[in-house]
Amino acid sequence: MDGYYHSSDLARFSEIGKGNKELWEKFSAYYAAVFAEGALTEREKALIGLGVAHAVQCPYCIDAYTQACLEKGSNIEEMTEAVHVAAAPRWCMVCKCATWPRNFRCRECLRLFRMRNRTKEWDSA
Amino acid sequence: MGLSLKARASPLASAAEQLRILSAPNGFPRFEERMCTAGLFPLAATGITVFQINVGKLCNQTCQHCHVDAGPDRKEVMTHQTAEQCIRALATTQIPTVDITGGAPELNPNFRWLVEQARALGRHVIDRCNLTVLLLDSQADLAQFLADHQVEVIASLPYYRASQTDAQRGLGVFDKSIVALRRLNALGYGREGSGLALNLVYNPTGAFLPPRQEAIEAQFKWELERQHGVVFNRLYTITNMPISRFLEFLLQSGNYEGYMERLVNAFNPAAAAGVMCRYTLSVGWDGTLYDCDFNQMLELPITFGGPKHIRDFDVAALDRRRIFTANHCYGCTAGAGSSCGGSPA
Repeated sequence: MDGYYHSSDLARFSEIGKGNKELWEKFSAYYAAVFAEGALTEREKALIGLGVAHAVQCPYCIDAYTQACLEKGSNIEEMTEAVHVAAAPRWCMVCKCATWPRNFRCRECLRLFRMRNRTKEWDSA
Repeated sequence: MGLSLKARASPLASAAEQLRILSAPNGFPRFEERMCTAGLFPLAATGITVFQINVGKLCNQTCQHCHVDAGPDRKEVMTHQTAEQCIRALATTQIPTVDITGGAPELNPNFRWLVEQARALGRHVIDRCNLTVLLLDSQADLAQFLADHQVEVIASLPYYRASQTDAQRGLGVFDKSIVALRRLNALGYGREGSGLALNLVYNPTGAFLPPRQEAIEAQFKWELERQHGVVFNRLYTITNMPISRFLEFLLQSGNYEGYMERLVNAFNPAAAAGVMCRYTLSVGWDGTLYDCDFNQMLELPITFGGPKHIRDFDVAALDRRRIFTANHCYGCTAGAGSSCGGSPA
């Protein structure tokens, strides 16, 4: 195998349905409902998708949501901000993973962690 | 400002070369096959309601995506004799709408005569305007002329931000377009109750399909009014056709295969049933008749019976003509579809 990622494979995504048509159809229906206009616009949802795609580092998702964002009328400025929104907590996570739980070098991580866990026990760590 | 494909002696200046690329085997079904599957082949006209006149390729801009390959270096313009033939033909019909396009149609010396004659016949007249033409010294009174004759203005503005608009249409075009829009607004264009319709045209600034028309229209209205105090009536979304300078962009950027795949996969039978060629007659700058402006640029005149030139105009023969289609037509049938009047589906 010369590599795992080929952009041409993106269009073959639906082939996953060959293994279990019913589950594929349920997933497709769910997916369509998730990205349909609701409390958030389709455009906003595509931007969230783009951010998440970067956070999970999936080349196919990045490709697909880039296309989706453009086709919902977004622009490079909005898309860049969405990626930064994903990158910011992701960076914090990286920082925390590198040091957690004993040595929080990032004070902001520590503050957020405390806020989430409502605990003081790490103070002495 | 860039040069046209023709001025650069690009192979893509040739319609035959474009058709060769578009018809090359690429694993996609031919457009005719998809139309067969949709029960729409052969495609037939449903009666002409739009008489579209392309008065030539001369333009004051050289936009990256232009399907006409228009520009300041193009010299093909409709003569007064051909313009007269258009009006003579129009007068024999009840076709309600005359749609004047180019190039920048206003730069044709016969443009105002055509408008006056069509209005005198009681027809609704559309001017497909690039906006910046309104700021040329020679066109200082153009906006007032359009208002005086109650001409509907359909103006190109691919995005509500300067960076995207300028990337496609040329540096500084966005700012000039805003000045032109304000000038039109000051005359009443785009304002409720004025009777002066100002509609904008969005087209993608890259190798992707346009957004849903209603969604992007709301976004445009919000941004243009908030940022620039500009108002308009409707926004039409148009898909970039994979021909001429947009085809050049697709090939040079390595996007051709992916874009065609996107168009083919997004084929929509409902959009195909409502394509504009079914109700439009397109007249070329030299009087040749076409099914649409895109066929015109690919030099594919009316093929299946009916007159081939405006001097031989015969509305009965043209009303139910069979339409010539090929792979470029995927551009009008993808997603919600695309036409000079926006998304048909």
